[in-house]
Amino acid sequence: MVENDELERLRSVKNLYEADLMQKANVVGVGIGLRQRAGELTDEPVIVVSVLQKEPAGNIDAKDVIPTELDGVPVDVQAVGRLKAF
Amino acid sequence: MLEDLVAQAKQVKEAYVFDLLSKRNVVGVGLGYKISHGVNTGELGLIVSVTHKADASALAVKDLVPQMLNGFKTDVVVTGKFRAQDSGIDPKGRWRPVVPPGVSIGHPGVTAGTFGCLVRKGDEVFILSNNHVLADVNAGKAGDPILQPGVADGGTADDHIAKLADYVSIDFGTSEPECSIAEFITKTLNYVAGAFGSSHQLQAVKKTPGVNRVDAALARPLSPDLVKNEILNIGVPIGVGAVTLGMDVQKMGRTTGHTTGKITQIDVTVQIDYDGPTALFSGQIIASPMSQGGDSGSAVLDMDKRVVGLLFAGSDAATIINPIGEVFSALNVELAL
Repeated sequence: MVENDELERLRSVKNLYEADLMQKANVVGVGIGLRQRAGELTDEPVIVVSVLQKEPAGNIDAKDVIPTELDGVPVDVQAVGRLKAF
Repeated sequence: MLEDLVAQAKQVKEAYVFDLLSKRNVVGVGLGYKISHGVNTGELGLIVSVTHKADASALAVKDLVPQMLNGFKTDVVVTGKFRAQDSGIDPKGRWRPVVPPGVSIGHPGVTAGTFGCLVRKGDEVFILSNNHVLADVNAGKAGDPILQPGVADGGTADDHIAKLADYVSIDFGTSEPECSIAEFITKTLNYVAGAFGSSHQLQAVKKTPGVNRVDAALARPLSPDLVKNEILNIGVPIGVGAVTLGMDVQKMGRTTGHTTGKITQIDVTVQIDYDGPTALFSGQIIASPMSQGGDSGSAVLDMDKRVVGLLFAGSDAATIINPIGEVFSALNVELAL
């Protein structure tokens, strides 16, 4: 169970950077979630940046690189593919 | 290694499957975890399905199912006779005289979606689903027929069960050609940040241009007796609730039926593809993959049967859900209990 204080902190950092993150190539979503390792959910609260697919850092323009943390809050990049209304 | 164990169990199954199937009462053989007193023991074994259990003394020796086969335990489970799924439990089928939530439904201009749950406004009851299921992505007009099952499941004018009553328009944002998608997103999100700050006390139905909170619509049944609130394979919801990260949830949908998943994200801002145009949503919930096309409109419930959301989009890796509180306040309805 994630503490409310921690969620509040994640929320305020997410709100600060969301517009910037959503503009990066490949990004389709920004939310508050749990880090995934090898496809398994951990219990670590993070800012989750959802992308169409993961790309090696070498293929990404500097302006489109997603930081691994923002103001001390860890960021986890997760591939979700194209999200469709279905 | 679990994979090795599974591979071994498979080999044992292959070696004995025909022998087992030739025994009296046996209708199936598979791999699974042994269930003891209703609890999953975590112990991998061969599951032998039988029409009914018979006393060992009443069976010929050749019809006894051995307790062990090459080191794997067997578990005899009573399943009765298997039949091809009849329309009695098929969510894509035509349901009469009473239509339960969890089955195929749709506007004539739409393939098919799912009847999520029954809601009410005063004394009147309504079918809740998505705008893109009941209102054809803003193209529908109040009074349009709603079919059960939906067109993709063979629904025709004869399957008219309700009329489109109300929906929340999906805002695809600006159509100004000089405004790129990136500029648009920045503009609208900055507007959101300005309007809401970092406060978590979002006003439920505050409308921000270009940013959506719900994909929701209501249909008025031709008669209140034509619908019920008991969701197929789940039961009657006990109320509404909120989600937390890591929580287990369930849904009953037209395509994938009754499935469960885990909440992986909250407070999500996300771009959703509507077969071409994309719409920006904020305040969304993401769950692990638990749905496919046609499940849209399903109610998402916690494991205690509190409704927590309305499923509307996804991919092979994620399921996107509107929080139910936002849906109910946008349409000014409550759960029909």
